[in-house]
Amino acid sequence: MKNQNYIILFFSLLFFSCEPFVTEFNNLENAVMYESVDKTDPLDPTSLKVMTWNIRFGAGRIPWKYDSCGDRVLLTEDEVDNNLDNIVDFINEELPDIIILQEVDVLSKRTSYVDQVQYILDNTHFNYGAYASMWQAQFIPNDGLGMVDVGNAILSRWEIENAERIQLPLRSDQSSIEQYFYLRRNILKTKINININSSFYVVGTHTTAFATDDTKQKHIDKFFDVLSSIEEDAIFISGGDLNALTPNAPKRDFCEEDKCHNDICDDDYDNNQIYQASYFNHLENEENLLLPLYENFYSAFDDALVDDYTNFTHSTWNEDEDNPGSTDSEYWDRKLDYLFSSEPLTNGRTHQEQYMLSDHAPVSAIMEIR
Amino acid sequence: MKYLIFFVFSFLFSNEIQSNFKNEIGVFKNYTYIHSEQFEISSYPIYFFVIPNINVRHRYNNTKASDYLHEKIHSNLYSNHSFFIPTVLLNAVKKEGMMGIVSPELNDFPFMIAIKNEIEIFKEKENYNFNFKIGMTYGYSAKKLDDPRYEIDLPIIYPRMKVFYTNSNYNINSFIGYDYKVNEKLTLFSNLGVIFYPNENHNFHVENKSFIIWNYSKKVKIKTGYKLVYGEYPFGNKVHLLPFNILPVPLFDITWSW
Repeated sequence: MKNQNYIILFFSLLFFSCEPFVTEFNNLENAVMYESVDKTDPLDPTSLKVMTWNIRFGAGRIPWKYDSCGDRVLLTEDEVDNNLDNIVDFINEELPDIIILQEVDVLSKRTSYVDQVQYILDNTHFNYGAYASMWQAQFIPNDGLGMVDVGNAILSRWEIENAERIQLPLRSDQSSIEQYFYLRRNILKTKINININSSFYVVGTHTTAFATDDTKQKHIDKFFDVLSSIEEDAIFISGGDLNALTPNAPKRDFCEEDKCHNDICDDDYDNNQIYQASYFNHLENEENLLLPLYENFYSAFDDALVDDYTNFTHSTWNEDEDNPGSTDSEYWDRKLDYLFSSEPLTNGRTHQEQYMLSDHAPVSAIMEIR
Repeated sequence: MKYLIFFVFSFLFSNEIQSNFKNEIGVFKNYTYIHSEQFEISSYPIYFFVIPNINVRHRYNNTKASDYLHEKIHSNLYSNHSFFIPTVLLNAVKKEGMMGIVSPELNDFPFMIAIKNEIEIFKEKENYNFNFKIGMTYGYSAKKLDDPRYEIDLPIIYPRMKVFYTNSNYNINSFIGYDYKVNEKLTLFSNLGVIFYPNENHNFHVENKSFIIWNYSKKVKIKTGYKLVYGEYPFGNKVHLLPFNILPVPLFDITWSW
């Protein structure tokens, strides 16, 4: 009997010491916490400079296969180092107090297994970080992609007391095998101790880009629910790449802008794959998708400015590669990245001049502390 | 994915069990031809065209060392000599889309060959067999592969391919295998293999394979088991229990002898 127990224990240890090839997550999990190697003392804040940025896993404007009609899959170590150094230089120039990041690689073959959360922490003024993976697989047998671990991160000068990874619904327009290997998007909710009387939360997310069913609606609804459920006397800042246009966006079909050489814009919105991420009218009343966020919280830009081309935050590829410095409406063509808060935001700014660091422009604003 | 699993499985079972017949082959096991007591040859014939591979096993008789081993521990002395050339296979999986194991943006793999030489002590008793092997693998690549993007960071494959990629183009490998005949119908088998790269980071890999063999008849054997792998990879150290990390089924093979 004793031997039998040892055998059961041995095999149990074997099973639990191994990790599955693709990681699935619970609905609610603790996020992964980070600290910088050298810490700096943060001052007590009277106002906070906050920023959201989809850094495109430090790929800059390299024509990556899956998002910009390119043929690149794996970056070289030099490319990763160079792009990350440029990102770090920009952050050190702007000095945000809190940054909400999307598409941060922490252990991916495509970026030479550089832990980008740790890299940014160690090379900027940030002291603490939290990370929630949206795609964690030991091996993706597609185009040589290999291991992937990419997700959302929040970096802060102040200590992050608590960080939760809240699972968003999986895409329901995929086969089960596609779904198994696909992204598991999430909301990263952190509670940060900034030495004020109220509790302070920072919430970030990256909602679906490619779903053509109601998954995007579910993601935005969940994001709204998480923000709404924060206790009344607490304050929060939230943001991310919502992959949704503003309610009054003048244009909702970006097929012509996004299409690759062989793609055809034929208005077949349901079946032509080019429309998955380029058409923002898959949902009934999709123009109202972000209305609850605008109606209930403060945003970085007022109504008059939000649809101005100076606040566009995304373009799929660098059309003006031969014309450096050109960042007009032909370059950035839509707004997908947002900041919302429980408190009024001022000095909202879209940093369009950083057009080579990512396919998204950083968005920043100042949050006054009561 | 299924092709990948098939490919991996093909290398999970190998030639550790001594056959009493001249020929033996399995669904996944390599083909073994025992020419004589002194000489046997084995290969994966199905894959030979994409990954040429041959292993030769030679038994030493009437040498000082073999006589000593025979007298002292009733064991026989063998040497194993093998090679494999993965170039065609690697270029086949360097492709776009599903089953693209290596990124298509990279240049073609050059001619590569790995040559392995081992000394083996084999002890055969009525109820059990024991063998111990130690040797060295040398890898040659016609062009230097120093770009880590060429690596395939998968268990089993990574430690065997690393010999082509690194500045240290050789490894030291050792192996202990044991099979125990429970009765006429049932045999238990387990082994432990180590691959070590002396001059490299991520240099230590251990593999343990165990299975139960049902001797369905004198000529047909059915095997089932697992492979436990510990490896040091560029992304960290990992343990994999195969195939359970991928599929909820054990390893499986059927072998025929004649």
